[in-house]
Amino acid sequence: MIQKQIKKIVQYVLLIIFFIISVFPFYWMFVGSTNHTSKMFTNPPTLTVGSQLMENLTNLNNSVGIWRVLFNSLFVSLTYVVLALAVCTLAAYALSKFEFKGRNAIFITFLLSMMIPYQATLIPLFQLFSELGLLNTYFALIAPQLCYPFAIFLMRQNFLAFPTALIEAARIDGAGELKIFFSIVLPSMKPALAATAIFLFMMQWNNFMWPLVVLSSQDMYTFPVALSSLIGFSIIDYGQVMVGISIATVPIIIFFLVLQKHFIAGMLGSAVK
Amino acid sequence: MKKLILGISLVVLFVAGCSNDSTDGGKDSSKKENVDVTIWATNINVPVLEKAAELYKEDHPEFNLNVEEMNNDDIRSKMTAGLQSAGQGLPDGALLVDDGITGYVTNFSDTFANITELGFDEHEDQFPQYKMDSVSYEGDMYAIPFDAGPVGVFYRADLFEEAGVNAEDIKTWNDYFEAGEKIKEVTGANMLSFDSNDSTVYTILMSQQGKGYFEQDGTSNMDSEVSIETASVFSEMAERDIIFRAPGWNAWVASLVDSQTATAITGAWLIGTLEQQVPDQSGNWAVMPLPSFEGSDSRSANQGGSSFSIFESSDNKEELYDFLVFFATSTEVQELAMEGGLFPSYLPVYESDLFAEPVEYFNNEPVWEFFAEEMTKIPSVFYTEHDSLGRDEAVKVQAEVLEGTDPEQSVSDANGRIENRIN
Repeated sequence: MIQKQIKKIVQYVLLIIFFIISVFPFYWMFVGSTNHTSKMFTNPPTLTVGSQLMENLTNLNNSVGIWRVLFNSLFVSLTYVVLALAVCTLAAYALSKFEFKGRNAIFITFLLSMMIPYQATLIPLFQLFSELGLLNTYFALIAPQLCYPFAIFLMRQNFLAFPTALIEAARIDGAGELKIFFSIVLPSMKPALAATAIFLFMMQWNNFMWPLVVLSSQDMYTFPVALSSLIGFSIIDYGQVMVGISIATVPIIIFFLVLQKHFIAGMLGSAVK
Repeated sequence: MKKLILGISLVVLFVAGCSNDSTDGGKDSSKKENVDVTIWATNINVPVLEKAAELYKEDHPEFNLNVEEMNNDDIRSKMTAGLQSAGQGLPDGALLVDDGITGYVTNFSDTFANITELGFDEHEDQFPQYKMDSVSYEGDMYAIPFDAGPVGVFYRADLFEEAGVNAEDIKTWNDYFEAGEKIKEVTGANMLSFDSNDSTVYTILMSQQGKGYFEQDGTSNMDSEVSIETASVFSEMAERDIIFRAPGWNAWVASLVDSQTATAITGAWLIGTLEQQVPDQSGNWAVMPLPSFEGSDSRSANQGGSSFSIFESSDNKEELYDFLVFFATSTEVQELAMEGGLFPSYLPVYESDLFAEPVEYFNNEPVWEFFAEEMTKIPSVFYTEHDSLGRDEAVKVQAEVLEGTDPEQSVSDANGRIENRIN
């Protein structure tokens, strides 16, 4: 009995320690956003919430126009997730459930393209968009990565686990290919879709190098680019930076929580028992 | 038939549109109705540029300036993409850090406007020689000088006093080490804290002796006498245990806040950093010149500073040049810059009362005047396209000699690596 209790106590102590380790950075971020930048460097560190939040926010808004940045980031990331999910899911479905010549070759080509370092494609891609006159547009942020090999790979593995017999049965019953895809295959794919969506959203939300290179006016900046522009050569106002990061973190948390629900719902309501 | 007519008329319209464009762009540039110019710059420069544009607009109502705020590394990344794509996507001009400009010009000389050819020679006596040299390539200037980083040793007057050290007695590096030992013994603070991820102090000590990382003909200075002297300063301080390694900018600022160090060796811009990040230590700081090396009386150096480049691809090259010359040689604008924490390199502005004013943070000493006097004493240093390699290796040398490696051995290893990477 006592042994059991001790075990429980140890468990909770460990959990609390790890909880503190994972939550502390967020708390530090919040503390930083409510204090003057000089408080970030004191010893012992400042751990209490200050009263400068509104001042930091006003400064931040003056330097980068944070609400416009928030809109840009949300618009680009959400549009990207919807479109990329459509492209990648359909591609993965074709690559896993249709028999055609060169199917594996195409898939392997996709996988190989994952191995090309991003830096190598940056300049050619930039030249391409420059020639097309598409620099500094939302399109330039969204389009290049719509077909994302890793997302195709992820979805394909999930489709492979889906029994082909079910699809054949639907075909015999006279369902069209689109009907089969949307009514029979996709509903059971919710967990996989949610996982892929979270992955794609995070990737686009945090994307830095490409937006930095391709954007040229401040009203198009996304979060990573805008926050980076706050870093000066000799002066960094951490108050502003921390407020900006706090605002940038909230949508990711919301997005994750919303999809997490689907994630679990999808697990329970699977069509395949 | 209808379609054909429509098609032809569209083509005609299109061609007309094109030819219209080309005549507009080609005609005399002195009477443009609207001049829209974009410049990339880092944060504290933005308000100065915008105010200068307002002043300039009074006489040039057609001039519109658009400043894109970016940090220095980001400007470099975007420059690289733009330069590699033959100037596509570049703005009309950019504020670039001096140590990178000649490197760009060496590789992409067609992309940068030759400032000397645009007529900058008439202003040559208004800027310190070292500043103009630092943005010159094969005798021509490729950027309009703006701010500078005259170096001083910022020291904690309160700690010096506590240890009974008189800053005026520190004349050579040896004096500096001995004072450091005394201070460490009495107060526990190290003599110097430096950012160990960066080559700032190494670069400063090299340039104090008039050397950059490379000669203009491309030979590396890493294993030169000057570099050995520099590395020895680090190893000497390590031996006496009076140097503090701060990994990164933030840790370095924290070491100043924390009184872990009695001095900091940087450009004048530290004034702004101290006032903003370390307001509690107001009144404790003071500035002295660099200690001298044996056999030399140079006690000055430069660190950082930036200048404006104009790109050949710009449609408004001359207009931007005129504006930037106004910007760089207007006492009013340069005073604004100074109030914003930038140290101007325009010599006539040092006559301004602003420089003689006591600075409250520095115990009411006129520190700006000190730096203004430094400006004409700074030795010229040439930057080359390979400088980033030199800075890279300097960081390794710093780390090695602090761990006890012989300075001579360490710099010669570094030199080997540099030559390997270049060839």
